[in-house]
Amino acid sequence: MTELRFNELRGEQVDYAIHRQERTFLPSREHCPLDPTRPGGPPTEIPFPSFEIAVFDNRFPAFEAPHGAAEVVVYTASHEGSFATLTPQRAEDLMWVWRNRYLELGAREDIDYVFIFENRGVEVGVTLHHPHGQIYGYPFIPPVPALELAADERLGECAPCALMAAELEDGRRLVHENAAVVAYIPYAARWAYEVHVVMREHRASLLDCEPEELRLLAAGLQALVHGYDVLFERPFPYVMAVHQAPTTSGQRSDADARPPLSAPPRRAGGHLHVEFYPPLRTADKLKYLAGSEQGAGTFISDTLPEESAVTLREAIARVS
Amino acid sequence: MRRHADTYTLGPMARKRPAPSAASAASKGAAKRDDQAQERFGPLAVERHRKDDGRALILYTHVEREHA
Repeated sequence: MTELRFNELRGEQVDYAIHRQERTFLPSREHCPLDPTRPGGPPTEIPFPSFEIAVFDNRFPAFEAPHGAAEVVVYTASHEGSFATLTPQRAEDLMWVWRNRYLELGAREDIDYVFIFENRGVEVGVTLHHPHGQIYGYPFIPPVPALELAADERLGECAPCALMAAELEDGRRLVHENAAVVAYIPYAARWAYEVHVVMREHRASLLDCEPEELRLLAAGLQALVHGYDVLFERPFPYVMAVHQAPTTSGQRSDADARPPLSAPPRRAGGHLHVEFYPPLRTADKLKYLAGSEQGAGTFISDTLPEESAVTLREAIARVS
Repeated sequence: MRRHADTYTLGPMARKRPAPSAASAASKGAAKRDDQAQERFGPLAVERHRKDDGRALILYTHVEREHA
């Protein structure tokens, strides 16, 4: 069972999922629960000898019906590799899987926000090395997407559209482009190599994308993570966060047990983009969230986005 | 510049469906296939199964290799 508690001082929900304390933690190679179940081998989460992409309910969910969902998305049957090393076809298929999960989870009454994400590397808390991501279906709109909706209100237009236009005009922080996506280190990035991969056209969600846009989104994401890996010539840890429109219908009553959020009015906003938060600031130095970041909520950065963009752009160009 | 509200109307989300109940997920036995019908989503075949502890498992397989 999970429990939501509202932190009045912060104005935010905190999710208690104490059973997760027992979740599988960095198992040995031969006991990976995300491998296929091979004849004579130990049982895994996927009881078949082979598969392409698998999605299943998390055994240790942070959210569960009727108050949300937590799913695991296994990118490949192969234990080795990463999102970067998937074939282009598999990466494109993954976009369709994301789209399918967004559609199905978002259609549920108890889910107001479908959050697709990947944690890569022990530096960001990965507990299983097999290439995979996760999906949380939140029973509320979480604070970060809510802030993006608030930015729309503040700017009086779609914030990602406006910010992407500004980045294209400036040009110094661009790291990669194709016909469907623009990737850049934001003007006020928190992390040294934070990148936002933004749909050129206004697309609220994966559901609004043309098939060719899905293919190019996958290609853009792979170009970036390939570049990350060559930047410091090491597997590059990151958090990948897919931001899309909330899935609240606007018709469900909020008169339930959950306290109100200090968020903007719930509405159908959003612009599909993928944010990457890599904790490395050099090849062997991590950025930690310390006093100012945690206690005051203000990031202190040791690098300028314009300078980071130069090196990352060169790294991506080397592998594209 | 377009405002998001001009281009997104929630579409399929407009009519929400209830969350799955625990009871509906509690079938026992080896991983069972939920539906024998051929299900497709874009270029993918979708196979829905139920794990032995009742959790959902979905396998996605590319079926349009000739168009890849």
